[in-house]
Amino acid sequence: MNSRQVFIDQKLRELEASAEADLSMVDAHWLQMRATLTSSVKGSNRVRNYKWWILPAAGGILAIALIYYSQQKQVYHIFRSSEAVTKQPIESSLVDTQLINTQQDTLPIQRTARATRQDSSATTAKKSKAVKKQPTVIVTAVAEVPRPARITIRSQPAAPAKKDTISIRHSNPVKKSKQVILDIRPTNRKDTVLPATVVVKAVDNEN
Amino acid sequence: MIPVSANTITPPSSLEQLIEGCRRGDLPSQEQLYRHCYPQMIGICVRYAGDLDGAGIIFNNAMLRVFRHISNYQHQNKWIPWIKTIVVHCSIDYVKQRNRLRYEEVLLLSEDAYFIQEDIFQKLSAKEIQQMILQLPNATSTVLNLFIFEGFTHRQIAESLGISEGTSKWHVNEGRKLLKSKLLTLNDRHEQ
Repeated sequence: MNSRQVFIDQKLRELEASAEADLSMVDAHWLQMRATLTSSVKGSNRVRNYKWWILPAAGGILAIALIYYSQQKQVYHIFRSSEAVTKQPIESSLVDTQLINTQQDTLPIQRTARATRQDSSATTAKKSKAVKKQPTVIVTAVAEVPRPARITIRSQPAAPAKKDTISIRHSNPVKKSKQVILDIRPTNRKDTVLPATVVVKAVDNEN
Repeated sequence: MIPVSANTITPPSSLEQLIEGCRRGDLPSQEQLYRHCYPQMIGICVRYAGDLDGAGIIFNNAMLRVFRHISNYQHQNKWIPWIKTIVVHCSIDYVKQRNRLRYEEVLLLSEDAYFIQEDIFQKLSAKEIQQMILQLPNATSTVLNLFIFEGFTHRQIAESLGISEGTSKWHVNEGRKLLKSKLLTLNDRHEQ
């Protein structure tokens, strides 16, 4: 037997270098690779397109959700009715309305009431006294509307700009009931003299 | 020479042209580069995977990485070593994913040099030697492959596989010892 000895690592490296590669499955492996490459290209294109339409789609969904929400909360109609009063007074489509009841109350505002209850300390008492002098006037008006219409309310004469602004709490399309209660109150908490008359206008829903 | 399958007609291109094509995402160029690298790299993959199916998975993963990052690679004329590095890293990932590595901390007494009679290798084919390495425990086989064939240092092996340098050295020595005993047994059988 030949007694020459070699280092095992070196011999293994030589053998590895001389080993022939098994190419029997190169086509099958390439087919798998091609499928991966094609799908990844398609995927990246899909992602690119997706990016383009995701923003408008999201915007649309958000807008629909907002409109739905505002309809539920009747916010949208308040905006629309106020717009109708200021911009679109369509005389021909007005529905005859009749104010059947108006009531005027002078009530202390809520904060005053709370402060009066807790009058243990001198400062609180002072505060409550100061606030007590500022009553809030609430006018409740009941209007008769003969058929479904959109109600708008306007104070007459027009309320001064800052201090005595009138907020309209009820102005929305009347669908079923023909009677609508209008709760009108000043938004600020100082002494307020309400306008002498309340004008109620009802506009056909179709307009 | 670029190996091309019988059903694919591809014009001969230089490696640089192929790389340019791959940078543009050109599928025929990608195919040519794939087939160009296959014979050199599939052997490495087989050493870690143990069979051609696993080797194909490793090679495809590696080539996917190559195609994705080929536009970022700037070093000209070093494509093949770069691809080989990716293939080795993919092989390590593959072995790790399969949970085939079970390492235990071992005490290393000394790193011995294992010598063997040269004529033994003359009676064995490279394929038989490869099979013998594959029959070693998975962890030992992986460390031995990295150390002997990829030329990794023990520190690099330790970092790649998350083991200590001592464990890496032990696996290399254990692999040599086991290989030697297997070679001697096989030699005896051949002589009989």
